[in-house]
Amino acid sequence: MDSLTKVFKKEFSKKKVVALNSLTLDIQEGEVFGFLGPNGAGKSTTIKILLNLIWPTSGTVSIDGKSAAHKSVHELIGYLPENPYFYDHLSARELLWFGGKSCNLQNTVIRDRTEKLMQDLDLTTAMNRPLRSYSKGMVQRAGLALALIHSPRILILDEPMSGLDPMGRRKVFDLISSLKKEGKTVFFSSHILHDIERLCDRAAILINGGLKRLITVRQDLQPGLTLEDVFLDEVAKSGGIRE
Amino acid sequence: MNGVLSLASITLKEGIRNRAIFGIFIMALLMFAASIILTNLFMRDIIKVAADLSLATISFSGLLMIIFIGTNLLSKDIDKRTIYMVISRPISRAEYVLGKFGGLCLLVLVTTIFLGIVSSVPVYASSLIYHNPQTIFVWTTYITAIVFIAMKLMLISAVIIFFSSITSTSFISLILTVATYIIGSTNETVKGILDAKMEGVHISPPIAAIIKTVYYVFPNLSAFDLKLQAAHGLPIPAEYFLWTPVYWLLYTGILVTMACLIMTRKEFP
Amino acid sequence: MKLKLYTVLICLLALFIAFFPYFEQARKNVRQVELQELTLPPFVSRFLALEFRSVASDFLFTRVIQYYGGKVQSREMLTGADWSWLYSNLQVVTDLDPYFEDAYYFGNAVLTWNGRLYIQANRLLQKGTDARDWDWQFPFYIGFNKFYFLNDNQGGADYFLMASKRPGASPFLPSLAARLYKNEGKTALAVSVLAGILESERDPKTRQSFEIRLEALKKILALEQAVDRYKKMTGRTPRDLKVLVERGFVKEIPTDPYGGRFYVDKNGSIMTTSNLAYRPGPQRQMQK
Repeated sequence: MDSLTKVFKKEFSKKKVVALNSLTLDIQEGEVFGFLGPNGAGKSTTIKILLNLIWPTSGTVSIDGKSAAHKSVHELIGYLPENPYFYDHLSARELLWFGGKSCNLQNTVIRDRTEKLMQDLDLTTAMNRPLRSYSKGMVQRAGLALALIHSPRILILDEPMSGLDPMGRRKVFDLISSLKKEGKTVFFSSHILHDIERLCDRAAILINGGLKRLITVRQDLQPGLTLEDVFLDEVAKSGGIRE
Repeated sequence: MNGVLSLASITLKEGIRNRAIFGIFIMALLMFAASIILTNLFMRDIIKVAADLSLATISFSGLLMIIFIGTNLLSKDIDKRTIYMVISRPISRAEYVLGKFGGLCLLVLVTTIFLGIVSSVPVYASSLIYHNPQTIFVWTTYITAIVFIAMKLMLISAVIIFFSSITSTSFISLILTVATYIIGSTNETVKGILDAKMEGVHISPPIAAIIKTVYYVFPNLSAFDLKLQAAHGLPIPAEYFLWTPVYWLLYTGILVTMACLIMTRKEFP
Repeated sequence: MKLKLYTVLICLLALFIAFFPYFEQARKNVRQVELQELTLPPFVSRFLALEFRSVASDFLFTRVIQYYGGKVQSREMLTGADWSWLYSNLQVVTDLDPYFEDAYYFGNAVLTWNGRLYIQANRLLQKGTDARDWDWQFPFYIGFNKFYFLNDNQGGADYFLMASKRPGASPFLPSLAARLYKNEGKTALAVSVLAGILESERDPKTRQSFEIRLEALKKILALEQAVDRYKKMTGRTPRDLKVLVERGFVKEIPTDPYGGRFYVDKNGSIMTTSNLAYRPGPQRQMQK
């Protein structure tokens, strides 16, 4: 039973900006969960707290029953940051070797999985070239490979479609669909409502650091109500977006 | 452990692929060539001069390399946000520090071995030119001197890692490391002056206290300088091979552990 | 996690404090000559040279040689100031590297025959004697300087004995010491010394300079023996060397290979205007 519980409040001390205000969420195993909100709503902050990159001012995060602060939790998680940056002197193959080795995979396993992932993501020709020679779409795909090399049960993707051309977006879309079929839990943030509508089981709308609405896509949106309507409605209710 | 080793491995690759390394290697090769020419200026002690220059080249090149590559190591990760790809793996912050330090140490070992082999050429050549029966040159001492240079460079790497964990500006950690190097190279000599209690040299108590503190706190880098011994084939007492490595291990360990502790408090927004 | 790290840190610190005295002791025992005379300038240079003192000693020494060679090339006289400069820089060179053979060797050669700074030469050589305690050459040179230049036969003999105890020493040293203790004439002793050195010296340039010196000393010895015979015969010292030739005690006055002129002083000792050193001027250049 996979549950991520987040109750936290985070403030930046200098400006006293409340990035997140008592956010509480429960993500179920095997579901595709969308995280929705305008820029600056606190989506990336939430994700970084999930990954122990930053710590909540108060509250707890637990993943699969364990605290998010424990490094072993990362064996279960595959993370793709917004605008991923890698050591660009590495080739995709070396990157994946690092990803696999740090998760205690055997070299043979890493080799096989690298081959398959490179094929699936269309990077076989560029596999041995350094990452600095890749286009943005290729970097994004390499990042996805890195997130998948250790076959994690949970995928956390921060704006996975950002900056991709239509082919790239399609690829990511298909990837998330197939992951869902494999029973993985996918948590991704986006501000492209259309994608969330099509992929997610549930979605949360985050505005100005607070959780405004939790939607179960199939139920809430059936009677002809689009996600856009719901979203803009919430924005209006919140009295505008904090800059 | 796998996390540390894999991170060390890619850090080593990063170091070797750094273009600055080529410049430093070329400089080292030029200095070796120059030493072959310079030995002709001397009369009998040719091997001493060749050994002096070779060891000085290895030490100096190694120092340049770790200062230029090492001081950027951690700050680049934070500036370029490449640290995310590491911390999001099952690698704790302490393991991150260990991995980076390990990579630097591997870089030191690889380059010292390479430079050491290349440096034996001018030294061997000079031993063929003129052999004075009063000159003693022992290859094992020469190799020992190189090993100790490697140890010293790894200690300085620990210093770099430590300062890098405190400040995120690479320039500040560069200045601090250079200062530590200069202090570390001279603190034993200065304390020797203090202990010698020479006539006519008055050292006030507060200065003496400062000198003593600096001697204990800052690393004693002259302990790793065996150039005179190597150049003249002087014997080194056996106990030296026990206590100096012990000092090295403990001092390096303390610095790295402190760096780990500091890093565990760091956030990466 | 943090607790583990703190424990490790405290353990390491405790071990560090515990083992530091042993490390310090090992450092002291490592073979270094602690200089008794740590006058300020050498200390400063040692301090500034950081870990590169032996290389610094090499470069400083080349400067010294170039300076001296330049003066010889341009046939200039060295002034007292020049000699001071040479001496203090050689001191610095040997402070930076107390084992530097060439520096002592060169220093002794020029400071004695050319600079006539015998005491300074010995001071320099003493450092080499202490540092290179396996090397018989330096106490030997001190001994030579003492008996030949400073007329201290006892001191010379003492140092020859010290040298003879070191490995590879020339076998004639003990008998030389014995002859010194008996106050035998120094020219004859010097001839023996040089002949012995020549047996073991291999460098052609050094051999040449020793051969020239030996030639000169042999000529002086011959003249001294002639003067002795004259004294026995007439009970007086000859007024000048021409007298010896006229009276048939010697066939001819030999030429001084250093370009000077042999003469006899009022005590009856044989001297030469060159003092057995090359004078700057239109003469043969000195080779190293």
